[in-house]
Amino acid sequence: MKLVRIFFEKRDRARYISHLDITRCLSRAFARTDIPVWYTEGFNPRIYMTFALPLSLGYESGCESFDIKLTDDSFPVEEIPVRLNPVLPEGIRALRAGEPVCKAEAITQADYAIRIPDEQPEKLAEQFRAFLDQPQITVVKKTKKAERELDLKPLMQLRSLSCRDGWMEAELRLAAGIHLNVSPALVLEAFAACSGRTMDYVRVERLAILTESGADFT
Amino acid sequence: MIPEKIDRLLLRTQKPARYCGGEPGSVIKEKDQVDLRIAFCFPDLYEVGMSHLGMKILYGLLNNEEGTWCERVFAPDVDFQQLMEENGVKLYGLESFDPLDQFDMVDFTLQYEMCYTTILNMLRLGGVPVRTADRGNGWEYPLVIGGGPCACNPEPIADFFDLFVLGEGEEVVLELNALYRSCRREGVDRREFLRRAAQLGGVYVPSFYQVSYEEDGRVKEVTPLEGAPAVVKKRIIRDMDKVYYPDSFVVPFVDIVHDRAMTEVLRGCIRGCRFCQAGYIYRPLREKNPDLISEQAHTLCRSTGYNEVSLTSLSTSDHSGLEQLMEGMLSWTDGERVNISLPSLRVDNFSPKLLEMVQKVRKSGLTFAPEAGSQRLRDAINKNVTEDEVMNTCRMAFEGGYTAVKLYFMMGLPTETMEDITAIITLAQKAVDLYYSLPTRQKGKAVNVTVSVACFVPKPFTPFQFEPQDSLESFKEKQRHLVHSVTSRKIRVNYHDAITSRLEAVLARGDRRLCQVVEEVWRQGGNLEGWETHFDAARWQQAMDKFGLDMDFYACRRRDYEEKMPWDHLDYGITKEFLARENQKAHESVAIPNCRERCAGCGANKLVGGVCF
Repeated sequence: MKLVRIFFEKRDRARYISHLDITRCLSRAFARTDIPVWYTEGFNPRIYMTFALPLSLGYESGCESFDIKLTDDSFPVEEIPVRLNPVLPEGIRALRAGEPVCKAEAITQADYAIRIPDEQPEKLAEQFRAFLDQPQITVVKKTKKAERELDLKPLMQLRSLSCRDGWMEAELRLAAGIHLNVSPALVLEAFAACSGRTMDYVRVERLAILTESGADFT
Repeated sequence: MIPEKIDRLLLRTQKPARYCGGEPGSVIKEKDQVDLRIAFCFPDLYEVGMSHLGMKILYGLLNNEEGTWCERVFAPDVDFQQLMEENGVKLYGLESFDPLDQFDMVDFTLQYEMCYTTILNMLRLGGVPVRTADRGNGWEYPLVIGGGPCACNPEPIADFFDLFVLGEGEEVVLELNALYRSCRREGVDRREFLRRAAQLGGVYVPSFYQVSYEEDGRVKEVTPLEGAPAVVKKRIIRDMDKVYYPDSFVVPFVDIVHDRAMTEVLRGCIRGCRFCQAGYIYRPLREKNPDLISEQAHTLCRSTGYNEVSLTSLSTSDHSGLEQLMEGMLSWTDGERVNISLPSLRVDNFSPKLLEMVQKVRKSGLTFAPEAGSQRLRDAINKNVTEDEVMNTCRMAFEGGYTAVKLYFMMGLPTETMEDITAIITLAQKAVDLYYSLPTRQKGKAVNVTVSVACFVPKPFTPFQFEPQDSLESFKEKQRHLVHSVTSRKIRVNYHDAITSRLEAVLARGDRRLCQVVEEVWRQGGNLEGWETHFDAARWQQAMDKFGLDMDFYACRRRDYEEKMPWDHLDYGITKEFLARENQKAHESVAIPNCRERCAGCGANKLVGGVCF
């Protein structure tokens, strides 16, 4: 049995596939190939599949990953993207496969590009900067169990801010992982409340998933 | 790629993956490579429509034809519809995102009566005038075509459709395509196309039939115009082993109602249950070769990645080669981790061997449909099942480790009395008692018998087409009586409000005068009415009142055998004399043997050259 990590991208209309649906979609894709993937034991066997950091509905990403197990150790892992890609839906593409290096727990931060269309993006950028410059950015984070107040300020970092062709683009590094995860939605919600704008249409792309040292999750 | 106008809206909707297309198995063609574009519409939400086998078959068949591009269209949920309207987005095909009004043909499958208002809603959202008369004589708008079970009496929606296809579609849709192409090449107008289409067998052009009424509202005469045939005969596929079957399905991203591969085992039914429209309009029985079924199932599972395949038909256990089929299936399903699901099993031929094979793959609840509580009533409706058979099947199920059984019944059946209602609970109680009498039962595990009781709706082309439906008051009284009769906490009773069934009864046997009612209900907001939350009975009552029509006339009136029915000019192979004969037998509580045992002379044998078996 061999543990394999597969990196994939989720773009364009594939961003409308929810995390739950992605799992099912990938399972079916494997079933359409002859990759010797391991199924769980038990009454309803399913493909063992764990995701490092689930991606929210509507977000694009070029750095997603999940782990599977192979029943045949001699199966060449570089074959996985080759065989998987022809049966994956448009927008999802396996990029590479290999032995996992990091544990999922090692993830502490992630980079996102947030793109907002606006007739005057420069003005919006100004507002966004003012929003970030607040001494404290308090939001209410809802979990399944409870709601709690959270100061976003120490949990995010602006990496770049630019404007072009009617879009404002901000690149943010946010706390991520199983311990404390800040979703771009939380930031956008706070920005909407602060600026009084409605955020009907925003494009979010996850650019990188990082460990403590700032290195890519591999 | 999704057009930005639509893309901007999707994240504001629930489950946007229903509106973005791109599912594995969906077919994309180059627009300049096709000369005929068809929008196949299912007038309900994505989750329901995507579960429908007929759509999958025709989608595959049409896209298999060079030059034809068939796309899928479903009704948007309320939230998305609102966004579409606010932002000027027309209802579109999921493959190209082009609006309905840009297609050559807009096909609707008519699965149940309560979807009629949704059809109008979808047409309007797609930019297509809802009335045929408003679509002109040119080619500005697509042809609006209907098919499916409700096409056997399409009169309540006749004003909205250019044509209906009667019976099985695999051959006639391709004939229609060919005719359409030649007509467009020739440059003929819409009316001339319809004139020629009416000459194809199985094509009903409602605007070519003039209906007159008696003073009391009954149909007086139906006069064909423009050389259309006096009687339109349904189409049928003679050889199920040669008919097209898709080797791939569109596999949805979101969870849908029936999310699995499906193979068709047989068409038609030998049983002749007198309440069941499907049992008559799909006659006669035609089986598919067991090896072919297994092979098609295997191909589908490989191409879709589904880990469940269902063997579908009206009565799968009536396939004469079922055990061979199951053995063939199990030879590959086990190794490939595929579950077989077997809907529509009958209680009288559920053999231990079969149960064992089903158990190999899945253990969930078992569902049986005795339909009526007493033997007398089961005989009257020709449900040839005895109490012993029901009990034997329950015994097999319990001994096989099942602790939950679902029993389906109907109320309001012709000749029914309160004793028959009591008998439903008596039967359920016997199943409970049986469980506790078995030494093999699992200790400490309680049994659960769920009794689901639907309100009977008399349908065209059945022996009960002449029958009145129970009044609402009668249904209510019977439901009260049913609940009061329950003798054990192990029995759970489910039933629905009878008002929906009453409207189904109105529409099922309705005439053309109901078109204005359907339109009015839609104009007053009627949409997605198959969902209880969207259904409003008052709206229907008001619309009926507005046009001086009476629900009781349609739902609760007994028809003479001689009365001219609104659908009498449509021929499904079954003679009216046969239906009248069967109706009489029902009133004598006499059952008849199934088609395999003895031919009852329904007339459907003529559809397949004279001999069914």
